[in-house]
Amino acid sequence: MNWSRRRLAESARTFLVLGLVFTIIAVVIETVLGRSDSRIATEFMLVTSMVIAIQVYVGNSGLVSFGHIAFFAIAAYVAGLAALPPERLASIAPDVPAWLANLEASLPVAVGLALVAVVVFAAFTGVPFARMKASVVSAATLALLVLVHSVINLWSGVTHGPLGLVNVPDLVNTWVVLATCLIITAAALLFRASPWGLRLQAVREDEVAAAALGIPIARTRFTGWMVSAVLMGLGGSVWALNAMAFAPAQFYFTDTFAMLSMLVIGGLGSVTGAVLGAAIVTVLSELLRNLEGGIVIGGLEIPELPGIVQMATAVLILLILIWRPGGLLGNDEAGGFRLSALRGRSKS
Amino acid sequence: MSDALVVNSVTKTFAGLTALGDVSLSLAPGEILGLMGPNGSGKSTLVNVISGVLTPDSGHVVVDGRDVTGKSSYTIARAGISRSFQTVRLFRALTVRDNIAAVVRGGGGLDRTVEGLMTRLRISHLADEKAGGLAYGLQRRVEIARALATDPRYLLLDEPAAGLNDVESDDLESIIRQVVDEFGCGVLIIDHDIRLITRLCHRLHVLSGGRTLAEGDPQIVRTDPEVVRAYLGDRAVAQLEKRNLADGTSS
Repeated sequence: MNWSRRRLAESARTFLVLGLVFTIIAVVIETVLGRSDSRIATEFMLVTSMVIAIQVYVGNSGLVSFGHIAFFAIAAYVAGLAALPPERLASIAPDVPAWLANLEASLPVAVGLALVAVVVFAAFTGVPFARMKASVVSAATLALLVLVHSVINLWSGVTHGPLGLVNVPDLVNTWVVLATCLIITAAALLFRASPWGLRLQAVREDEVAAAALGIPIARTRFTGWMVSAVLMGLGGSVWALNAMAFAPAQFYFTDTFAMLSMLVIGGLGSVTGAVLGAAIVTVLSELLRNLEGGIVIGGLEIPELPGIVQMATAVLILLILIWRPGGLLGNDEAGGFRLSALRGRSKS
Repeated sequence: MSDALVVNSVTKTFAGLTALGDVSLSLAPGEILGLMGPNGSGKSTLVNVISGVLTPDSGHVVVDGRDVTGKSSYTIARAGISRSFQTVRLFRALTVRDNIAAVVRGGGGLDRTVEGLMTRLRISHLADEKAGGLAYGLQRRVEIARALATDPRYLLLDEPAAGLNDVESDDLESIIRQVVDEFGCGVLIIDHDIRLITRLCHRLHVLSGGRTLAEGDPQIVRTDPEVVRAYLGDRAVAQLEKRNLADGTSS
């Protein structure tokens, strides 16, 4: 098992850059922003951390997963149910087992339970998924998403059905959100630099060659799937305890495609790209959301434009796919630019 | 004699077409065996069968006494077989160093580190370049370095000299010699370059239409009429016979 100092160094530099970005956002939230804006900002940080979690699997393996939102949903519901006080839970979800209903868990316990649930679920699905052909995996993950969404939507006695969980205690402050982002970013970068990450990237590049040179394809993919799922579970459970209310509709196609579009725009093979893509799509969405309701600019009345956010995201993806099919950053990390810049200069 | 790569009566058909019919050969550690034959004669199919990319219809592949017929590529690789590909198959988006590091396995106490292999294949200066962006001849060298990184007992090289110029081809020859000397592995090499093959190989195995046409001393490519016909056609055979006749009368 060979750890490469070079790859670790690049990841460490990237972590410094991304960690600084997250820290600055957190400090701005605490010092400048009002209550509603800080809600948007913490939501952005947690969504970004989940895009990073998806990147761990999708970026390193080259396989598109639509199923990660299912991990998000499971983590959110388990954490929410664990944290809700029994008297509130009795009115919305009477069928929750007593041990869980009476738990009224603290933050670490709620997150811990969510992680256990996600690990079990990911291991259960990951074994067959890792053995599937690359062309089939994406369809299977899509089935996973639909399946989990249906269960959450219909199992009203536990999940409160389409109405979702409400009044989930707010156990999370800005610093917890920041810590979550830093842990997920560090783990994703560490995996990228690790021998397991490198082997998964090799399988992504050429499965036949990788197998012929002794890389265990299924085991390598399974490792990436599990790491990615655990990080998704961490982000999802903290998100749930920050959001305070959520419903099954939030864990379906819209969010799946929103997160995947962030990854595609930023660059599938890059953790920095995941953050950049999340930032671009979020800012674009917030700007255009005002247009959706229709506004008046200098006497010119712009009518309501429902769906303009999705439309703009779609156009952006098309442009990216035409001009930079690998996304804005491709496989490059913030911590790798110094090296490549030096190399480019020495060549000329 | 269990220390060898043995292919025993292997047959492989594709939709009724016999790609390999009852082919047998063996390769000992430290030996360089040339596999020749016209296009479509089954050379690459044989390499794919040995390395587990394809499963034979019948026959056996045995590595140092262990039957690996029909096993996965991964199992066969772990049993000590490594290979390069006719159409270079590098991990294109990864650097040269990472291409080798992704598959490296220590063993035998030899200096088989990533840096050591890059030095041997004379690609150290390219360590941080993306493999997919290299010139063709250099990609072939990276592929050989990567194949050696798995600590193989037997190395299968599928047309490593294809697309190389004469200088690169000579370079490759010395690299392969060096590899066999230092690592002691057996090398099965496919190539059309008769000059390279006859100089490099200890033995030759010639396929035609999926069947063994001839095997033995490297000179058979010049002297065996069947081999010459398969490669160069009837006129060349006539010339060969004339030359043999002339040699006969003069001696």
